[in-house]
Amino acid sequence: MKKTTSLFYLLGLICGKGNILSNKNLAINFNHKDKYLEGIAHCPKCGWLATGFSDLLKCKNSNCKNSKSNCIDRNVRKIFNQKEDARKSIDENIIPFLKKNLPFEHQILSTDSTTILILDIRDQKIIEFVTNFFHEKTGFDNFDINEDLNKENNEFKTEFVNGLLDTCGFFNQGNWYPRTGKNGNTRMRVYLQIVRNWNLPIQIDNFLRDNFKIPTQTIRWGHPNIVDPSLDYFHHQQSPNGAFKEHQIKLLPETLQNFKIRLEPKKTLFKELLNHNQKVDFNNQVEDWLVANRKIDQKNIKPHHPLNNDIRISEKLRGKHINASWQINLIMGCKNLYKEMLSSKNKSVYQINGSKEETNFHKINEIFNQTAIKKFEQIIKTSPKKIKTKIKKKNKNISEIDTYKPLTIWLKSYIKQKFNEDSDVFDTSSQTLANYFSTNFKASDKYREKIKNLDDLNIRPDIIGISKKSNKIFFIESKIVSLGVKELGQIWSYSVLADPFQSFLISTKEISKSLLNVYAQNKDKKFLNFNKNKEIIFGQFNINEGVKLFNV
Amino acid sequence: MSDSILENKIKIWIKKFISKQKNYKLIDIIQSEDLSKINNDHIKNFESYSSWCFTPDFTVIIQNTSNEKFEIMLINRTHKSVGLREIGEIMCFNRIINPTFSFLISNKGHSEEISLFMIDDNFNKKLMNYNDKYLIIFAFNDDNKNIKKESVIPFACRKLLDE
Repeated sequence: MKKTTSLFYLLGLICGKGNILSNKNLAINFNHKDKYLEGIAHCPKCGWLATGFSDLLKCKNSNCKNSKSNCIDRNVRKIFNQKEDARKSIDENIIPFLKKNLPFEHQILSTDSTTILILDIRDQKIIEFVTNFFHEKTGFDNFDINEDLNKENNEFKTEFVNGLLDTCGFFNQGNWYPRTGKNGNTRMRVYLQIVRNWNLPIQIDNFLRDNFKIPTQTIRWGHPNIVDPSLDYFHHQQSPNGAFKEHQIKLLPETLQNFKIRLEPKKTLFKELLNHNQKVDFNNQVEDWLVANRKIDQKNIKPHHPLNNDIRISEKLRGKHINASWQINLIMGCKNLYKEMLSSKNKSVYQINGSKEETNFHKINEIFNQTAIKKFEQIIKTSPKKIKTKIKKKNKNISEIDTYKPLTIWLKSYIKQKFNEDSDVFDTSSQTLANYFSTNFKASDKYREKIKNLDDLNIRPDIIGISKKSNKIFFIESKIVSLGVKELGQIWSYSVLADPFQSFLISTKEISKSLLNVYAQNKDKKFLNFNKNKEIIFGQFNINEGVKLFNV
Repeated sequence: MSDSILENKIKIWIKKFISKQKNYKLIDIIQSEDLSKINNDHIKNFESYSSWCFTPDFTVIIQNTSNEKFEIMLINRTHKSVGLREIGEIMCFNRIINPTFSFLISNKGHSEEISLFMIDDNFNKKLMNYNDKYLIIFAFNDDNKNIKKESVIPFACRKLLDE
């Protein structure tokens, strides 16, 4: 098989936001969550950046009259129709470039927020090369950059980065940061957005440095200590999911000029960001997290975050307290930082506070741990935690939430009686499964893999049970309305995809006559079936009498 | 897009779709009725109609002109992006009625969360297949009565919806 630029561009696209499907077709996602995107606004008087969220913007130059109030018309910004522009460039730029050297048929699936290009590659050797390149992994959230890529010629490596920029590159005017140049005080950055993949950010950082001498300005990791350092999401807003975000590899557009963006409006927006920085003029200075100060003092210690043990975090990092992003870079495999660590007097101390000179690990470690816990306790003490629960329908007698606890107890006893096994049963209705497990089972690893699969599928039944001996999974969906065919839909979909051992639909109300009718008249009960002829089991729950199962 | 605009689009589309099917003739469109209770002679022609105790958004009676038999087409519609709940609901109907055609029509296509299920054969066969037929999901263009061709899944069914 001949290696070509198209092939390496394809690898970059897939690595950024692609999937290798079970039939070996390749799916590439081009996301356009907001229909319209705005370009940069400059003050018509002085040419500095103008910002704001209302219809009128304000100049960032404090010496300019337009900085005193919001008075610049928002329409000085160009408006881009993301979906239309992206769709057009997929047809006009991306597919023709891929077609140059790759034999494939394609399909496009388009929704308001994403356009998916699906390629059916008609060359088995290319498919094998792609799957081997990604070590048989199948999705952008777990792909790695294959080390062999470093050995390829420059043109191929450049095309790989071009692919990454088209799928996970973001070029937003809002991503400026305060830096003073000759003609302004704002500098624009672009970023690569990496979703749920903990290995890729530092692999990209290593790859860009080793092959193009391009430094990363910073990596914003989607880690609870970084995203939610004051436990605002976790504690104050009671929204633990907010503590996790995608990772962002922030780069200066000046460093990316040799790459080619093929997707609009990214291409035009990139030029706008680059022009802005060139106009402000930073004298060709680049910023690099690697040469920044690494020392962590006691005042920089972040509060302990209970979600540091969450299964969504890479195993390499799980359970570790992080005070600075560079610590994650080191743990996740930054080559340069690793070399620096080797030159320190005590590697363990270096990992904690970045000092190359200090050696008293136990003392420093204790101080850091105690400070983090103390800060955490202060936060928890000052604003008492309210229990957030999903708003559920209520009727006069009982709310859906009221059913969870008794149904949890019932399921535990059902598994014991029926299968002679002890079990763990969880009410999972108020948060994601991953959150639930990390906050309630800090020391437990045994369910992680099973639950991770369900979480990846975004499947959230109200109650989940897992038998301890044979690891059988049980689902319960609880309702407070009379059960009809309509109510079956959700638990049926969950069960078809996740294949639990048994799946229950339980209501406080009687099963509707209509469902009884359907049940009685459909002798084969096919409509209740999921994988290998398992059947959704109906039940009625009564606070005094417990659960009566209908079809077991 | 308001409810009435979407419903109107669907009704127009049903007529157009059936007129393009070689062997089918449109007989009746029933909107939001419990099929076991409706007083409709065409429905009553179906042997098991009394067990159809549920309410699809549109139940379309069609006649197969090659054998004169009546058959069914089911449509549910939603203003939200299609998710697992919506697919599950119409699939339960499909598994009971076994309609000739089944559609889930949305203003917005499917939600991003379920994209992988939609494009991966392993998942979409489990989720959208009934009696060797497929539930078809699609969206209309915002500004006209045509289908957004690129919203149609499964891909194999796109030809069926060519306008």
